[in-house]
Amino acid sequence: MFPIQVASLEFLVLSIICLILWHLLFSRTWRLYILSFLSLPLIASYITAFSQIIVLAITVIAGFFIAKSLQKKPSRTLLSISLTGLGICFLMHKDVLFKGFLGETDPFQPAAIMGFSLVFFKLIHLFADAYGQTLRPLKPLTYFSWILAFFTWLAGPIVRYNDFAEQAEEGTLKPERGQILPALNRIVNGCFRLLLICPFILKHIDFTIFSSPQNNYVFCLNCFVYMYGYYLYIYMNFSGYCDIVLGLGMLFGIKIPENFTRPYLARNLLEYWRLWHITLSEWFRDYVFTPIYMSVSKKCGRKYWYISLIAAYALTFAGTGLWHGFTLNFLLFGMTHAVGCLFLRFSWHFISKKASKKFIASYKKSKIIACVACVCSNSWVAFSLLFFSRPLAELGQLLNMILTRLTA
Amino acid sequence: MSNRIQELEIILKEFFEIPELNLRRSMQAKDIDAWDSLAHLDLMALLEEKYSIKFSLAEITGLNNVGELADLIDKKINSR
Repeated sequence: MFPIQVASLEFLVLSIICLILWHLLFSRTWRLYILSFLSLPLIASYITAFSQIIVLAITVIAGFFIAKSLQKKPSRTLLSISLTGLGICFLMHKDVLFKGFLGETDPFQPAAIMGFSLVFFKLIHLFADAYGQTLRPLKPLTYFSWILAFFTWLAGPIVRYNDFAEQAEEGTLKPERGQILPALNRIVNGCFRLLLICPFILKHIDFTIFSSPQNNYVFCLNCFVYMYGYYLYIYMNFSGYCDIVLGLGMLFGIKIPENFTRPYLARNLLEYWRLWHITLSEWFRDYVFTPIYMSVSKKCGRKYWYISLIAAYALTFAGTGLWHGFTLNFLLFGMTHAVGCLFLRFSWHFISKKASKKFIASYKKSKIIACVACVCSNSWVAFSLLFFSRPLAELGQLLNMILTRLTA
Repeated sequence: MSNRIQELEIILKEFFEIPELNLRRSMQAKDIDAWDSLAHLDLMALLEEKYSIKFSLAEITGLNNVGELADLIDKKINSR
């Protein structure tokens, strides 16, 4: 069975069947059963080995009982064992335990391969919130429909359990008044991006163009077109996917959190991560960055604040990169962002200590600085995304070509 | 203004280096320029140290305003 993509006939048929049954059945319980069961064919389409079914089934079922137990009695030992177990399952799923760490990259697969990884993210959040006693009472049917829901299975957004459960258990589960047309508009917009704009961009960002003879100006132009074109492709691909998913959620009467808020307008990298893949950045902020920063800063003391900052950014962005796949490409992508964010934090720390309040206020208000900063941060992001686009050997050849032309 | 808010006002004035700060229960992080996500974590670490309490992850990320922070500190101190 082939993987069911979001902008495909199979996904459309599955969505329509699920929507019809969802709105025909008045019982909340039956609606959640339908959502859970109809998500299984989509999940099954991504299964390539029997072992994956076993790992997934054990993870999902055990996840429920562990969270339930943590909710009843917050045991630090159980939390530690569960998170370690999850980590091992995650490494098994990513084939790291079998094929080794940091293998080859698999480019041009941005919005179709994340389903299993998202289950692990959801479970870490579930365990942490259950341990912190902030999780709503866990119910089996709500849990399974939340973790399996086909519309967020492929690549998120990451919906928190409390947000889903509140709607599933207390919401109307119907589209809000006047929301059907905006929902359809959003789905059509997403399909337009995925089916028309993305293939158009892909057609014009051909890496092989660099091997043909060309003068320096054309070569330079081609480099820019490739770098920004690939950034645009990733944005259109992922935001298009999210448009479809959010629109579909509106038709089900389930509010799915926004994942993109015009990230290309970000003034710096820190702001960029508040606008790009928002649910993932918030997840990493809450469950990776915050605990690392707090624990390192307690150990080192506030005098050595920079140690906790470096540790938190490096580990958070290493995780952000490696989540996409255990390859050196993805690690370098993450490290590029870690370096960028640390540079911003340190330079801002220095500026705020040395500069006057008047200067800082005018710096923040200046539209020219905002434009330059916006171009710089987008360029840094576009550069980092190059690691997604091709194997390192090919990127190395391109770098070599650039250096040869510069020194010639 | 409650005692806890008065105490917090003194701490925040020194922490954010804003001597003219007038703290209210409804005040949020966005009302103070320097109160970004990182400053928030530093502030929480400082409060943990000062009051000898411990905030959970959900408490650190789930606060909405100064009033909630003051109530949380009171709750932690009373349950010691």
